[in-house]
Amino acid sequence: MTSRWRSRLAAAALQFGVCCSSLLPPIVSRAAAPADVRLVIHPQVCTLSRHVQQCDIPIEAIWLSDRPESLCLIILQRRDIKQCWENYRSGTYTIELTFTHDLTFQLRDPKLQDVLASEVLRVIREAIQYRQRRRDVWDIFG
Amino acid sequence: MRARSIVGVAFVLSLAPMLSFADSAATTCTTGGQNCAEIGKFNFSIGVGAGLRTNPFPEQRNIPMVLMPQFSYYGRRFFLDNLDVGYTLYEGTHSQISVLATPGYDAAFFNGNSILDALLGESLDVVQAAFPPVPSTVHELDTTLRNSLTPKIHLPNDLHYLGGLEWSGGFGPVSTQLDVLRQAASSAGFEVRAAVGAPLRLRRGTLSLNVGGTLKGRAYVEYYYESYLGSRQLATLGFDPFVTLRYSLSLTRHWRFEPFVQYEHYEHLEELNNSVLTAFVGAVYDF
Repeated sequence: MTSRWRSRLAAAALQFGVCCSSLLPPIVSRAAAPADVRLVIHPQVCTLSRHVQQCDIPIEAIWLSDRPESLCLIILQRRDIKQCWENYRSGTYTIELTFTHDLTFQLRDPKLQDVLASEVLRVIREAIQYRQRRRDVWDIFG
Repeated sequence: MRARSIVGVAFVLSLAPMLSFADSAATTCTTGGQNCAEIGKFNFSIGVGAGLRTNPFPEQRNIPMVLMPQFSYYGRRFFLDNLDVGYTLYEGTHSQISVLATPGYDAAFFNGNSILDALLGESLDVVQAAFPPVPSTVHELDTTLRNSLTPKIHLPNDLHYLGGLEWSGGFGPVSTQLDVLRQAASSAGFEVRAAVGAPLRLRRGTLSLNVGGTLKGRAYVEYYYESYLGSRQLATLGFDPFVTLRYSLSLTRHWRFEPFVQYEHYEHLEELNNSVLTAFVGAVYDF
């Protein structure tokens, strides 16, 4: 499955979740209820092999809301990255990043106070196995 | 001479009780560390500097040391450690027992080929591919040494390997090694290598002291040194002790300053200059 199809599928699933949850009868009045904001990132995992020390990949973040929202997308570990939208029901942001540890993507209100949605892109390293090194103290190089 | 052999045997036997040290099958190398090796990774480093190894034959010039390539590879059980090849039969928390094939280093005095060249960084293909040849003076010295030390016995192989069992232990900071080896080329020749080493952490760097020796059977000594021994009768066992002092200081991620000095005493070469001193001042680059 190509990356584009995965993204479309994720967006479709997101759309379905948002639309169907909005069909449910509201418990409190809609004006007071917080917006139902969903966030999906792709990929969700970056796997590092033994010989690759860092992830260097394009990441796509897609969000949907049941009503127009003003919000910002930030990455906790990369405070220099911020993408904001004003009165949108959905948004897509693509960025190519180099990283070695988990990245936390968050959608926050424009003042960056409240967290509306959060997703983590996990870094998984191939398990490196070790064994005891022989103690070659007899050798001149030991 | 006999007293020294007894000391040698006593030294070797003193390591034996450590073999029975309570040992579990679990290994401590789960997250790596100084005494751990990454399985499946080829490690290569090269020492660059200036050094000398005195020659026990006084009419010969000392052996220069310029480039010292070192390499190792550890599989789950198989390992390659410079010129040593082994297969680990047992690995516990404190020790491991391996089947080992290792060169007899006495051949270096005669053949002046692979082992000596490896010390000088010449003959290994890997090194040849990665580095330009060493200065011609080294070639000349090497050739002089090789031609002048023609052994009485024709040495059939370039490397004279011994095979046997190795016990390698680590007890806190103390490392131990005991190799019981039999000569591949001569069924009667054997050698036992034993050594103990301990590092001392300094404010800057580490100072390591290794002491040990090699217990050599008469047949082994005669195999290499017959032409120099003449009619002299050898003891059944000979013990060649050594002491090595090494300083190591990490300079950068790849470079470390690592001078060392080693003193060896060749018991069976008592009519010659049987004290061999090796000294090297230089740095090691880890690839």
